[in-house]
Amino acid sequence: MGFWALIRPVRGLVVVGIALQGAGAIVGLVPMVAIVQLVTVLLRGDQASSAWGWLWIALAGIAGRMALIGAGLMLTHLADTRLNRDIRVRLAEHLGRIPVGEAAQRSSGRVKKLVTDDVHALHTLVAHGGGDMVVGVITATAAFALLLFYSWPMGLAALFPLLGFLVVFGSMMGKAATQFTAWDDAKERVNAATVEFTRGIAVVKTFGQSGRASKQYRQAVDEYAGFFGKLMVPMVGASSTGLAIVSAPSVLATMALSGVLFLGLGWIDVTGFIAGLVFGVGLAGPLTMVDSYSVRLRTAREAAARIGDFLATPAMPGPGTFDTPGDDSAASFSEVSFRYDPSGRDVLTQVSLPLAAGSVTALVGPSGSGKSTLAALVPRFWDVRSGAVRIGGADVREMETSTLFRRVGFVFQGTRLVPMSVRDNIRLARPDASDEDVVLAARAANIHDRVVALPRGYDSVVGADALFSGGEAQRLTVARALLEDAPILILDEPTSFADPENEVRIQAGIARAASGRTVLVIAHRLASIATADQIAVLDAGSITALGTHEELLARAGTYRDLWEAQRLQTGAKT
Amino acid sequence: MIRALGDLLTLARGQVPVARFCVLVLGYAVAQGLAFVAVVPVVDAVVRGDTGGSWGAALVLAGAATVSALLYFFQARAGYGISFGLMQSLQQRIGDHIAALPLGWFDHARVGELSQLTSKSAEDAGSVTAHLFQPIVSAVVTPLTVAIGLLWWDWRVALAGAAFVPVAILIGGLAPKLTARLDAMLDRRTAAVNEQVVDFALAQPVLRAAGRTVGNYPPLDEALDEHYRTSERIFWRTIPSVLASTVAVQLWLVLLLVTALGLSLAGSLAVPATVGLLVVSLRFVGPLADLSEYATAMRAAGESLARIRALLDTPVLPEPALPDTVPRSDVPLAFDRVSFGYDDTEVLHDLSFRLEAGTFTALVGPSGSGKSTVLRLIARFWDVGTGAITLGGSDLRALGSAQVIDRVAVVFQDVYLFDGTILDNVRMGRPDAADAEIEAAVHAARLQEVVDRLPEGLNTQVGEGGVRLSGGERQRISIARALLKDAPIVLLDEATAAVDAKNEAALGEAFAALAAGRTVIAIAHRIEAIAGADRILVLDSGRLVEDGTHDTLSTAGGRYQAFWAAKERAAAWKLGERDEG
Repeated sequence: MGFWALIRPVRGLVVVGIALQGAGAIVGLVPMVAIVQLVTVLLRGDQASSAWGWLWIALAGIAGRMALIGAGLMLTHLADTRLNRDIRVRLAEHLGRIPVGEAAQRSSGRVKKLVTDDVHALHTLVAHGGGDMVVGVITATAAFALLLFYSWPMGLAALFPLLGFLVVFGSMMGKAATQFTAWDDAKERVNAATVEFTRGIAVVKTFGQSGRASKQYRQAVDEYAGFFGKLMVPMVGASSTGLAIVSAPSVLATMALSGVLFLGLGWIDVTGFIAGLVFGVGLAGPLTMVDSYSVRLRTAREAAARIGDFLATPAMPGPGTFDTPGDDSAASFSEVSFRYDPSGRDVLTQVSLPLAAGSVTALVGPSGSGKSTLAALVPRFWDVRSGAVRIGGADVREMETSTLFRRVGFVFQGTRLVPMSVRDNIRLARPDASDEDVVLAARAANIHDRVVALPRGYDSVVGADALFSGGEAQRLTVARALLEDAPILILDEPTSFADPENEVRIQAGIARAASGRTVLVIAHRLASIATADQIAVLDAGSITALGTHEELLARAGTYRDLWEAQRLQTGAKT
Repeated sequence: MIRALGDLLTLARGQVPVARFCVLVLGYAVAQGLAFVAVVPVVDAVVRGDTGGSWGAALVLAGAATVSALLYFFQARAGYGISFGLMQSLQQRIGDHIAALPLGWFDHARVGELSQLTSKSAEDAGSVTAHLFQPIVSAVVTPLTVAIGLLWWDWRVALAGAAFVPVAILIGGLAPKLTARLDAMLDRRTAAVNEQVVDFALAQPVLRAAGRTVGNYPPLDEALDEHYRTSERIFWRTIPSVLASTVAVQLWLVLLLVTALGLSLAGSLAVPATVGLLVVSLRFVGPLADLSEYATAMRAAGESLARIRALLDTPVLPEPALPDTVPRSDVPLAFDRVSFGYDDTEVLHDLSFRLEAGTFTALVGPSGSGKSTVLRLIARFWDVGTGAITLGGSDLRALGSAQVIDRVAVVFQDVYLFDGTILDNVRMGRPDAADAEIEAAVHAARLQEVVDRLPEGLNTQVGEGGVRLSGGERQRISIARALLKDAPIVLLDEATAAVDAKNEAALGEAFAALAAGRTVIAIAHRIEAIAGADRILVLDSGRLVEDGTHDTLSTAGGRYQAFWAAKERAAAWKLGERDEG
């Protein structure tokens, strides 16, 4: 997505803003002309009234220029403010549309960079870039044309500093362009080294190795600073030479010397000389900003490209409109294959598994066998590559989002609470639930007492008024699932991160939530799912065995191995 | 601006030639002004038709312009040089200070803050000399020089010219103040948006399952709204200031030019001087109008500098000049009436116990009871509030961080792996370890079977944060490096997250290897680790409530017995059976 497409919602404001600044630039020529005229009048010793007239015109022109450019800048700034908000909303919306796993896996640093740093970097481009460019071009061209009109030799003389600047600056930018990327990389390395340095500081220090990590950090810093020698010294040298050439004193001196020469040769008159001084400076002035903008504009363009790239990452296909009547709580995986990385290998291969209405199905298998991935396909955290996940006979991809989420409830390991009130956390999926229902669910999940003990009770905001331990947070999640009252419940290691007292309470809540529902549960403690209606053993992305606890134990295989290993671990002591 | 410069000078502390730079900038501003003044004699001579005089005056102007150009060049180079030197020195001092700060100071929020400091804030500080100082000084000093130069022709015009001083003060001083409070608010709003968006991304599983996205997820919606509202308020608030600056600049020009023309027409001011003044006066409008923008940027840079100073002023743990000496191993570890709080609230109260060398102690208690704090204090992440922790009778504060760290190996839940290979991460335990020692540690930590599965073995890259390994595998790496370090004291915080049975068995063996012959203090979750401990300390709300072995405590009728009963019940639980929690 290009920059032009990115700013679509504020294009009108930007265009009008730039147009106003362009108009300001044109009006800005009025005082130059007026002053040349005024000088002519003064030198001829004409009547005072025409001198005053030209002076007022000059002042009015200056005021008009400031007003028009100011108004234009206000509009582009307003556009920038609106665009900031618009892009942030679009970025967040997109985060909500890409596969859920991808959104949660995207490193928080990258998300932050996109949403704040990159959006902010657009400021130069939107609020200043276009206007300044238009003003610069119009002022320079028109000043040159007017100067040619007044006195062509002076017009040609005015080109000298301009050419000098372009030669010096152009050669520098050509050389520097290749270095910029390396410079950015060095800067990035400083950031990475800082993050690594601070995140790993505990490890580094407890192993008495702070010297090593700070050495890496130091290296990154020195390398970055080394760019001053490699890139900045020649670049600053060239850019300040260029700017010194087009600075007002240099231009005035050039014009004065040429003017005196041309006067002696008889090529120009005094008016032409004055016009040369006035317009010559006006012609070169806009160039001085080229330097300060070149770096910022590049940053802004890169930021725009990153935002565009992110918004162009494929979103999941929108939900269907299928809205099953009735309340069918059966579900099934049929020949499901899935991979995270399109060019990688399958994480799940041809998995077929029916979940009968009201039954409990357990998924077991070693770490990395694909259990959590399989469960995550039901709520469409990802979409299958082939095959289908069905609820009540309908493909989840064809179901309307709210229908899908009314049918399926979840309790995951280490679930996050969101920074809302405890009440709103519990009724996250059913915002219209009554306070009584919330309390009922909290009681059933064994978290009510903890909540009412908080100073603000159910109104306590998570994170601000109340901090919950992992186990307590999990009980709130169970309450959420209870309130949601979905006919299908997915449990992924719901009791991990909990201390024993919490674990017992979570288990009790889950027992209540599970009764009478279709349950898909992932548990590492096999004893806890021994009574499941069916147990599916997943190994390297395929179901290798399916049956009840007794059936699976009767035959040699992964399940029996896992069971034996666990019995050795815990059985001896309990 | 003055305060920002003060901060800058303090932070630069003579490492960079700031004084020379200031003189160059000032010199440039004055030279530029003098060049403008030098235009007047040229115009005068030209108007009078004095060819020789014209050449002379033009050459003087050229000379002034050359000086001005040279000074511009040198001040720009000096400014960038200082900017980079300052950034480098600030980044290094921040780095040194980070390395010296108490470990407890670091938490997840700090990481983002710190990378802001080393990148953006340090760059802001650098921008003062590279981009801001010269335009601000020139915008004020150049017109002032011209005004003084005008005294040569007429004091009234000079006075009118000097009237720009209040205008400049109005624009540069007042305008940024108008939005200062809102700007600070916007910074907070930006931080809030950051936090909410990152949270929004991380909470996607929950939010999507609940059908929430932008538009019906109030925390993010509100953060975005408030940010927008604040930006808009700043926008409207700047209109009067822009308007005021514009009007002020305009009034000054009217005053100056009307005075000049009036005097000229009345015959008191020579026409050439009036002409020269008219020619250069247009040059002052731009820099003056830009002044408010530069002043605002200067204020932002000042805030960055203040943040850097605040970090550099954060106190570090005191280290003894003459550390105590005690034997490295076979000494007891004791808490003597230790109380401690991270802020004003105390989390450990009057804790006393003594752990003999070579024993295994399990810390038991509900979350928030202070178990992790005990471990952190032993590793001297923080110093105790009152009381003392002693090793072989010596206070940790008298031993100094280096000796404490040398004696303690830490295996925490949240294993941080550095960008590099598995081998690099293990070797960190003791960089000078022989290959055979590393091999032994890898075997004892049961890391070998993990490594065998990887195509590149020990040389497999773990990536930033070691993202490609499972929790159990990462913990085995951290056990291997603790083994390699061979410290007499081991602090262990077992992971509570689910690991499969095979992983759990391997981890159990690895822990056993690490515990052998060492003093171990563990926050344990596995039943056998707790039941097999030499000693169990039960903490509740930061107090030691029970102290004994599994056999004595499991029938004592106290906290531990309840804890154990719950643990057994949880272990025996089966989904589908009703349980009256």
